[in-house]
Amino acid sequence: MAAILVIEDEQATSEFLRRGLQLAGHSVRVSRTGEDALRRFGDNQPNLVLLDLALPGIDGVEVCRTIRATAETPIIVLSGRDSVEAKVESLDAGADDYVVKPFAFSEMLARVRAALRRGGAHHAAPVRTAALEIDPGTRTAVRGGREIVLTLREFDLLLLLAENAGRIVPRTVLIDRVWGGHDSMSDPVKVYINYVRKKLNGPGEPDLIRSVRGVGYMLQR
Amino acid sequence: MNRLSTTQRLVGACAIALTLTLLATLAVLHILLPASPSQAELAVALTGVAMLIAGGMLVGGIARSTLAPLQHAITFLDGAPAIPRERLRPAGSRDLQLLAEQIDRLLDRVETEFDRRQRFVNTVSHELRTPLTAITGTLDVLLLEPALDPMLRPRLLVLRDECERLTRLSQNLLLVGRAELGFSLDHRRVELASLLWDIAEQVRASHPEADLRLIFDAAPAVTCDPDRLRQAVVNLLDNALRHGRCPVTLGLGTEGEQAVIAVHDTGPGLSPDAAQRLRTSALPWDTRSARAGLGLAVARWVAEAHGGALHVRSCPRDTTFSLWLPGQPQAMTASRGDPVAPTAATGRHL
Repeated sequence: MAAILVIEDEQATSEFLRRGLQLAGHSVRVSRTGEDALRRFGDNQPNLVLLDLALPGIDGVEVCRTIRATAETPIIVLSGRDSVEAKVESLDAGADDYVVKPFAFSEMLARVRAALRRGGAHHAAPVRTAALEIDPGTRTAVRGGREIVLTLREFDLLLLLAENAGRIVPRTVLIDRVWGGHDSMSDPVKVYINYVRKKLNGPGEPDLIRSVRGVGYMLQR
Repeated sequence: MNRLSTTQRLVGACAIALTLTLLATLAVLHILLPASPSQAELAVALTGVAMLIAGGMLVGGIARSTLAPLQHAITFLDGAPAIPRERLRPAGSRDLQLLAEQIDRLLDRVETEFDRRQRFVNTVSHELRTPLTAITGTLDVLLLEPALDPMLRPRLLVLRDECERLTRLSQNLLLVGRAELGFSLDHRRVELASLLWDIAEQVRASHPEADLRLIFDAAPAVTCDPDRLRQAVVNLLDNALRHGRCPVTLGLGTEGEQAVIAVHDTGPGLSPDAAQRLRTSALPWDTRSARAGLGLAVARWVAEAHGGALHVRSCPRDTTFSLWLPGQPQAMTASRGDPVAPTAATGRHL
């Protein structure tokens, strides 16, 4: 479904990544060094990059910075370093996500799906609740046959709530995932929840979003 | 005493001599006249006491100025952190200078040894991750193979489970290693709801069959070390999923100024013996604690290193581990004196 470039020098690790991603329907290329990856990057234009930080030759952070200088391709960093500094360094260099080794493959796949969805390259399966159908591929939401037109932020917010329907999603999680962690003094979540509510709830329809005071919001299952 | 001038010595000696004479006189008077003391006697006695104090102060003052470098050394060594980064530096008399040089040389050796062990622990940490990543990932992907022999699935799941246990074990042992070396915690403002959400996602990904529920009664932010706290919570969840029974609930709430993270399961619960060991053993250095579970020991250590506590309440079908954290930013201290270095200068060793 998507073309993924894996940059990893440990053969055992690159092999399971290749096979696992293929089983999930992606096409995979593996580079063992940063130099090789950067050479290939221009020709292949992958939809997503999985990047190991500890590479022989050019360091992974440098590879990340170089790719980010010319392309918007989602980059997920794989690293054996679990310190906050290492994460911040990678994210500052333009990485979209940071996975600490060792990881569960299913968790890695979930992050790949999320990154592709944000990158708009991937047609993920629609999410359904009792009252709603939300299609991340076409970025449309439908309630009772009525299509709801949402802005990018509103859509991301509703999708996250729908993926966790029946669970309270804390406000801080919404800020992390929808606004990329930038918490401004004015509360963007509250404002945007109200926009989504107005569009979602037609005349006489029950409110699907429940506010949980001091914690967050929940979409009805 | 080579810094004393001749005059100082003379004055000191005179004061001592005078005091001794007066004391002797007083004693003789007391023996000869045991009955009601006369005014003259009292005057003599009072003068004696005054002279004694004056003499003592004089000698004491001289000694203090001479022995100041020694006092400095005692204060310095008393307040020295687990990893000594600063040095005493020689001062004072020749003997004291020699002593200070020896102490500094000893501190050099202690510091070098600490750094060497720290590098070793960090190298081990990194080197272990590479094969563990390959094994875990390969097993995960084998389990996804459409042509997988159904006979193999349960056995691969056992391997996968053991592999995860090995990963957790190595991480816990490394934390103990780092703690013994006196690493300092990372101070950061952390939104606990976001942290627990991430942890729950991670645990659901590696235990897709588990019924893990998140309950938020509040969404407090605290000052803590997010990586160490994550490790503590993952240990508590791992314990609940391994030894307890689903549903497992991960709850977040507040109690006064404190934030409380609670992990509840409906399994058979802890034996009173194990619960007692968890509460009382000196962790994580006491090897007996390994029987109560290294993971729980580490969780308790993390809580206490943050100035909080780990409580357990257990009976069949109802076991709760509660990790309490102070809500207000405050200086973090280790549960056992030294292990967490008090200054940021020593840095973090992750």
